Amino acid sequence: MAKLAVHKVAEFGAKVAGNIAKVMVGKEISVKMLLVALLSDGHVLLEDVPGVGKTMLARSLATSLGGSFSRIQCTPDLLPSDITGLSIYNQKHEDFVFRQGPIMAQVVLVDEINRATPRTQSSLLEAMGEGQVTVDGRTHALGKPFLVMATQNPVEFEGTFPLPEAQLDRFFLMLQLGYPSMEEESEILLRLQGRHPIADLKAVSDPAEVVAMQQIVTEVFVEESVRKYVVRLVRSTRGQSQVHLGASPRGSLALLRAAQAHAALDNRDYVTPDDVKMMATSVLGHRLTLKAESALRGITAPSIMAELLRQVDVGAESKDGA
Amino acid sequence: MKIKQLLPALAALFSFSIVALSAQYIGLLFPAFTVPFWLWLILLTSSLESAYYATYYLNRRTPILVRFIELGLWLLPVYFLCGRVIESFLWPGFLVLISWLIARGYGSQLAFMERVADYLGDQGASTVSWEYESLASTDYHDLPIKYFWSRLYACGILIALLAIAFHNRGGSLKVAEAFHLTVLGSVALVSGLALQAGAYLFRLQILWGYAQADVSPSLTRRWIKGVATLLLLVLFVVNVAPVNYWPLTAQRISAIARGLLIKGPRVSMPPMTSQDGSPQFEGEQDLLFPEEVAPGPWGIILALSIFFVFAGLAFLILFVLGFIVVHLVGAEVERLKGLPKLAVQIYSGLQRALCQLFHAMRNARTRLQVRGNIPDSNAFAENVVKRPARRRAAAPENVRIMLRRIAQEAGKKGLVFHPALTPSEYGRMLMDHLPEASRVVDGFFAGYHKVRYSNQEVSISEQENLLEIGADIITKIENLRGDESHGKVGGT
Repeated sequence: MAKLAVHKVAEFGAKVAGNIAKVMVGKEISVKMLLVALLSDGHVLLEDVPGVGKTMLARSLATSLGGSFSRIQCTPDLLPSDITGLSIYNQKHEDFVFRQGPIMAQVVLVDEINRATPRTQSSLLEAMGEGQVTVDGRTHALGKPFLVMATQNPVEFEGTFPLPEAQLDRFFLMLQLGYPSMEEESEILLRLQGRHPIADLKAVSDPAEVVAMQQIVTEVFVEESVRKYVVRLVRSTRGQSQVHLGASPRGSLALLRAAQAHAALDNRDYVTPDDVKMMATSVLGHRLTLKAESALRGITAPSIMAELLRQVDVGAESKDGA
Repeated sequence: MKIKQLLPALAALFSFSIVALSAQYIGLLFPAFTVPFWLWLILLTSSLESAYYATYYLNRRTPILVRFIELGLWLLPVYFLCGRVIESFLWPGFLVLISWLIARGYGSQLAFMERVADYLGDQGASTVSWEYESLASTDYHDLPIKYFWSRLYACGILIALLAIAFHNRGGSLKVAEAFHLTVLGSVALVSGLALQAGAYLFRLQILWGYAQADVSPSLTRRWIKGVATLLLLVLFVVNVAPVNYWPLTAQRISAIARGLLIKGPRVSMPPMTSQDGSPQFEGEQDLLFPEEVAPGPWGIILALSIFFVFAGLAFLILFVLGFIVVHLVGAEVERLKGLPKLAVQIYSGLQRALCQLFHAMRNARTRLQVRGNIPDSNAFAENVVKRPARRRAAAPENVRIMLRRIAQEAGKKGLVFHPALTPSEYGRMLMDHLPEASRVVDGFFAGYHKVRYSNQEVSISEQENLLEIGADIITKIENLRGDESHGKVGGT
């Protein structure tokens, strides 16, 4: 069997992560997760309080990857056509011409997505799910790679529209950056004393390389017991008493692909249960709809996932891995 | 075939049979109300017309005059057939009116069921969701299905009351009368149950239509076949099987239990009248009440047995119900409430318990096999040297067995390999307790990962190396025994 070139993925990951580290202090795990989403051809939702570097992380990744980048600043009066583009009448040619929206880029930063109305949020569904947009009955394919990085602030409720479950399910994983440590915050102050380092950030990759890496990730080997573990883990979210709606089969697919990407970034051509465990909370957490009473008791999706990871059988040394 | 075409006919048949059966009983109770035989034909045809007209054509905008004319067309022949005598016409006319109205009610509800679906719009998914909500909720009085059930109950109670009244009166039946009652009763039972089942299918067909669900076209045919089989069975049980086929009645059980639990004198009631017929009052003879005594051991055992039998039956019924619900609603199980939820919980719980039992048995068997395969670490190492051919054939499996053996040995020290732990997590746990061997442990688990989860062949020398490292780890774990008494190995 030909050896899979996972070392290229690991090198790619190290290259991009190193470039991002010029701007972002700490956050190595978040950067790795972001790379996992990118290599899995998924989309990322960054959720955290303001000022922890969500937008900066997204911008630095976009810059590192090269290719086209666009940013959508969501507001309540943003219309679907502001995202997808629209047909306008060209008087010179006496015909309608399609003007592309910002979604027609390879890396799209959707800032403060929960400030857009549900109608506008839904206009992203087709693009994120199928990699295409349909405007005026015509379907336009989006470029490859296509990565949507959306940010949202979970603290404010006024003037915001929580993402519906269908939209959340389209996000491959959700990340929470958290506050930096004391040393990290001190380092941030030092770095940003003068010119912002993102202004000098250069691209270290290109879209073609990303697509090639994505292809390698799909070929990472998954042993049957690991696949069964993924299924068991996802199914356990459905029977959880504190959860109203568990993760969908799309969640299983996402978790498996994330584990493959994680293994590849670790320079392994096979997936272990540790890869699954590592990715489970980020991939499945936002796909759980908690019961109202659980939310009132302060139970969170990550705490439920942590509990499930402590309970679900890994199947490591049962005879058939079941 | 669409079930909608069949349902008005069933509704008409049910309306006709109920009215005709009631008329038969009332005629037997009060001979003045005996109805002529030709009326049956008019009852049946008027019901058919009423049900089909209401299902397909009647709507809110239909003028009331049209309805009066429609009814008049049925009452007029009755009036003429009764010899244009108003007294003779009143009872048959009333029966025609009742039959016509019952059938009309069913027809209107069938039409309403389709309109309910219209109100829901074209959102297939939300329609299905609404359906589950309505099934789970107790507040669905407005649904037509409720109407169908209430009519079935009401008609059943009416016929039962009339039958009991006739039975208590001690009236005798001629062969022809008994035959008429049997036929009408059977038609009422079959058409009523078939109508109820058909109404459910009709509702599902409406929902499937809106949800654009891909349903097998033969489903309706199979449904009809299934319902027909069930109804034939019911008909057989009702008409052929003996009435008292179930030996345990509530009366009999309570009598047995009373006899076992209370061993006292029987209650003897004094006669309320004296021998000469005059009323007898207090002071003349006291009432004798039973004295309660402690129940005997057999009585308690029997009472407990009866309790367990009934509890077991209830459990079994809930288990079967759970099985059916799980297979019918699939992923929507989480949305269930009340009894269906309880049934599903019981089913899932029992299923889990059986799975765990099966797993435990399988693990026990595996442990026995492992013990048989690896007598001890030294012998294992000897195998590596002395039996290369056999070793090579089963080498990857041996690495896994080695981990089991490590886990087994470490488990004795309280370092249990919990099923939710990954091998590397377990490895880290071991490293915490064997800091001097952390490199060896790390090496073993890295190699184990490759053997267990990779699709690449691991070289024989690498496998041998792993087995040797594993044997070394076992030795180190065994050496921990000396420290055990000092409490250095904590349970995890």
